[in-house]
Amino acid sequence: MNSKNADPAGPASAPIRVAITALLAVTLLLGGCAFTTGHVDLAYQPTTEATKLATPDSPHVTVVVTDKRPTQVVSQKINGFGMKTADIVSNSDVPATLKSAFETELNSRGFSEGAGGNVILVSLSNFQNQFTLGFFSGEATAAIGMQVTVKHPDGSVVYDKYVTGDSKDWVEIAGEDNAGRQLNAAMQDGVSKVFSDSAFIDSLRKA
Amino acid sequence: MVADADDRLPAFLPLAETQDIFHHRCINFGRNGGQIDMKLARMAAAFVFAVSSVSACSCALLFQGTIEEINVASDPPGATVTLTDGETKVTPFSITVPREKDLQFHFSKPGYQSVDLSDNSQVEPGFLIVDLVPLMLPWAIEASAGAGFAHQQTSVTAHLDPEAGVAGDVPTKAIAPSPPATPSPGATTGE
Repeated sequence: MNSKNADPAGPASAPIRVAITALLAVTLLLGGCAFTTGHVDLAYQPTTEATKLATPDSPHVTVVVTDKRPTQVVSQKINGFGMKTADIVSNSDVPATLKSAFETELNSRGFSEGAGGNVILVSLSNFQNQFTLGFFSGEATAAIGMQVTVKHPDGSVVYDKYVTGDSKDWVEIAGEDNAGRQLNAAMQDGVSKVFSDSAFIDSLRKA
Repeated sequence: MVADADDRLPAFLPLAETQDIFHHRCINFGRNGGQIDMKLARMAAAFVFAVSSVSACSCALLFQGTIEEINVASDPPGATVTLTDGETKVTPFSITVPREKDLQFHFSKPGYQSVDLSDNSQVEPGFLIVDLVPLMLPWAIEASAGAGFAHQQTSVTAHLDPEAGVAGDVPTKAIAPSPPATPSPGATTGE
């Protein structure tokens, strides 16, 4: 048996094998990240040093959050060309997280939850993170937009404002971790803007 | 260069003869000053490549820049629009925004339902393909500068429905970031 018979595929098979191996390696490398749906875990980090603002005769407060977002996608991964390749969704219930954020801040300011008092209606219409490319590193920008309305027990609207929050940072990887970090920060920014608004606090003190 | 009677070939030649002539010419090309010609050819090719690279280099950045003007209107006019960064403007207006930035608009007007519209940015494939020629370096510049992107709409118009007679305040979105959404009756967008 000569050497030719030992390799029936001939000398061209070696480059083909290398190419197939490289293709498989690239497929495996890419398959794990940019083209699969990502998941983020959202958790509200309360603002520190909240002062007690409620008076003893402040009425109870109920928080109702409605999700008016057109999509459950909170961000999208991008590839090296800047193309959006895969969605990132939240494992956590976003409206529930936002409701929890409002309740946490209310409690830390001395307001008690309960029916029959003021109602805070939060209509969440935007909660998304966007990755953009940079030359050496990219950028992640998250934003939240919500209509916050306070209604007194008699149904009168005493506070109605569209509030936005955002967070931006440099990132190296356009993935779930960075998206989650910015989304959490944007939610914190938006909620803190609501609670730093004296008109909002004043509306809660009265019934 | 070889320029002799061999140049005048008959219209049809057997394959073997054609190969012989081709081989003969190639040999002659190399022997009779072919080295200089090859160098010239390589230099010319390099020059053409360099010129094409420079001409194609970051053409999105050169020709359309990194910003884009978006016209925003509403029906009826006079609606307050809150942008993603919290800035508010009254319709109609136009804004100049970075090309790679996704936009969200919250339209509100007393007596009307609020409407949320999105205008997302996307890669312009034409520029990406052109930038492939010089080894993607131009695209690295354009993508980082945001020049190779464009918004889906350069004109965003919201139709605001009166609150009276409508059950609930239900903001709608005409363009969902992903996947593509069907325009809802409460909101419209157009070029």
